[in-house]
Amino acid sequence: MPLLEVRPEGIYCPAADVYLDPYRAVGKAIISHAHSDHARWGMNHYIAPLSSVNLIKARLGKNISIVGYPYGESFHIQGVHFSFHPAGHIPGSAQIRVEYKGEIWVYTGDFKWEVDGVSEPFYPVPCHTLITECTFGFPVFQWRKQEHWFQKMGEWWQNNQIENKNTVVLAYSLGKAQRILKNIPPCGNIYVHPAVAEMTEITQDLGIHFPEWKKLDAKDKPERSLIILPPSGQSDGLLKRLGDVEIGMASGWMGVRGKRSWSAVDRGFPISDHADWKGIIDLVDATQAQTIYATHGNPDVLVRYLTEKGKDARAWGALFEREEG
Amino acid sequence: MRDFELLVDRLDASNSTNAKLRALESFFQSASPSTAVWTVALLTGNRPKRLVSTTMLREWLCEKQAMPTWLMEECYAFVGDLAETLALLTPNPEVENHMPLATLMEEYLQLMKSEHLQEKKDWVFSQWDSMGQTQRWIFNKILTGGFRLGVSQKLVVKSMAKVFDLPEETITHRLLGKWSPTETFWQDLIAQSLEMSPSHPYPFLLANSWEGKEVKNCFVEWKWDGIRCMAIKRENEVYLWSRGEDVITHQFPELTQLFMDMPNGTVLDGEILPLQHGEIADFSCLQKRLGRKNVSAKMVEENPTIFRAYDMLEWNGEDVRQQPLWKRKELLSNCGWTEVSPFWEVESMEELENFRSNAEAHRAEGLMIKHKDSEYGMGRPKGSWWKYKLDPKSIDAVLLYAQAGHGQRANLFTDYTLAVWDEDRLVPFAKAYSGLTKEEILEVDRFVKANTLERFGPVRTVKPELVFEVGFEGISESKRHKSGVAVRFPRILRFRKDKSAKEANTIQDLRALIR
Repeated sequence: MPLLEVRPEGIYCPAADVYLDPYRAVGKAIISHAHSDHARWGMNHYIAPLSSVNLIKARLGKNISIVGYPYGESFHIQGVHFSFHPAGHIPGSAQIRVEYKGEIWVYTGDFKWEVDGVSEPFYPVPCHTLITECTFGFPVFQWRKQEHWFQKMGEWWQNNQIENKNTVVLAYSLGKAQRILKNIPPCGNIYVHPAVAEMTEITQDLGIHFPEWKKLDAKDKPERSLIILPPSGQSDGLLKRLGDVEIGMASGWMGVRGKRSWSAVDRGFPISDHADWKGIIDLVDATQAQTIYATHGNPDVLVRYLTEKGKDARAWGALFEREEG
Repeated sequence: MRDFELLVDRLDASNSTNAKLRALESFFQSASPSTAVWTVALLTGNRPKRLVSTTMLREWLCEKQAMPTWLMEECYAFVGDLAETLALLTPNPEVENHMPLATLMEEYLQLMKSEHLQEKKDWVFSQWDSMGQTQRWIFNKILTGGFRLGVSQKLVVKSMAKVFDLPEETITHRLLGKWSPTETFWQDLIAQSLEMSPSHPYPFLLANSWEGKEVKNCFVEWKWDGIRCMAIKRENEVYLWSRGEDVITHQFPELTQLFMDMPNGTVLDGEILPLQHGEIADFSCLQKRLGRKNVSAKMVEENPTIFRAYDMLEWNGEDVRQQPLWKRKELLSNCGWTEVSPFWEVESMEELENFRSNAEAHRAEGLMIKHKDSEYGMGRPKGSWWKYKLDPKSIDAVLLYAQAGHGQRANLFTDYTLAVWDEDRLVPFAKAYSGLTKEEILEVDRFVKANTLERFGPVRTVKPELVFEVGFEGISESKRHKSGVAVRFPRILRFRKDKSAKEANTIQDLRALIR
């Protein structure tokens, strides 16, 4: 019996009778991070990285049954050893290491190598079998260092100030928004959407310091400011209130011009919280895994590539369907 | 290439026409003549021929990056643009090299003459190795031969007119005709006054769509379905220009012969029409002539053409475009050198509709309505000319195959093959790319992904469920098509969510539309 398998409910560990990031309601769920396509409603009991517990509660409700473990600390379920290791994806994100009778599997959840200033830095965890995400599983994705893009973003903000415009950046409210807040060279007031504000406050409790920011209230009239909105914030009627704006989007998909023009924003910044192609290949090498399961994204391309390199690689279907970047 | 790179980046980054215009203006204010002339050449489609085939470029990329072909093809399918795919798959250099655009293009032209593929390959590789990502993308665009940045020639002209303080018309006029991307050509382009070569055409005047409620002081004439053509006779030579600004003199030797007799200094605007058994024939007869470099006597005999003139632009060597239309029609009718396309005065909507209902019987595709006092301006001026086409023919068809689009539609199934019923079988008859809203495109895309029956490379066969109303301009018999009919300009008019596949039209319904 394999240590982990795919079931309609999600990744399942039969020996421990527990699911990893299940997308249907189950009894016991181990959660890799607080994004809503990984931490879902309805589980009887949640187990999560300690630093993500408050983020998950903020999203799923205060009264859920949840227990947190710090990175690197083992916990046991029916003789199976589990531990969380930083995934570098967003604050509180983890890879999940599973060990049973000397066999080690690692599920990456979502991950990236680059140290972004807000997420606990990633490190590879050696294993026999690796389940890796491949959201950006095409060689056309080669991330540049984030300093490059944050400098560009800063210059763009300054230019917009000269033209008397507000600068709007669309970014996921958890993770990307904080990464921008932390790294953009400030040159004026920064406002954030209430959804972003909530996540930022919890992140601050984890000991991360940000430049000064303000929650965007109905009566605020930002001028020449930076405003961070979740992608859905665009249609909020909020934009109208902001007057003359330039809109930018921070997402790995912005690395492809076609995707960028489809999103109809003025500027795209390919800043991603996922590994690029080389990042995935490097992880496969670093973990020395003999078997690789690819999930989330375009597994077919990665699987064929690894197979041709002599690895035992297989696709694990499209586990998570939402596109995020 | 820094100026050009900055310009292209700004043009590509914005969806706003005003921002593009500003980017062009600031570019022209500071660009050197040699960079400026190449930029205009590339943006207006006057670029040199391909240096190598795109197949070759793909091979080279795979070789250079030690990448399997299938992986490169997967990337291309995902990105949807070859130039960008190649730029994304090559690494960034430590230090970016910025070669002036003109130097790059001169090297390009030099290599065009070379017969050694290796020489071209070495050159392409050395460019890839020294350029940053945006530069590589632009360079690859030049190599693959497509520059779509949402910049029309009109916008280029507008910005140049502003920066160099010239009428837009003058620049448009100078951009027509023979091109050479040299500094001399640039100086002529922006010079305050200049003598034109005898082959030089005038810009075509275009029509707006008719939305009028009343018609007053107008001429109405048939809108022919042929090739709009400007016929020039100057200095004992005849030049025929198409709307696409191509010289088509050699494709129509019989017309050239005819115009040889016209006095020098005559320019006519008219339409080339195909004739079969003394009647105007289908457009497809003309297409046989267009694709050829030289047309044989046999070809001329089998597919004869005529010219019907709409307008006179130059007479006795004098530019008469500023004169009112009624005056130009008078000159045209009195000159006696050409067949004049018939025109009538109309004073009421009733009369107009009456003409329109007779258009098909005259083998016209609709009406042209022209104000009697209108001058022959430039572009698509308001209030002078209108086209009033017949309603498109339409049919309800079933989506049978879908294919992903390119560019910003890569990864979305946007190219549809549509079919009608032949008893209990669906026969494909048209491919359509446009006509749906963004939301509808996403909805169809989701349907295709969830209802794929078979895959042939990029094409998917889907469950025959979705019905679309397909409009088209014309329909004729065709032996080349499975369905036995060929439709012109098919496009989707409506997503018929109210209809089931069973309720779609049949091949008999479709055939009934053929005249």
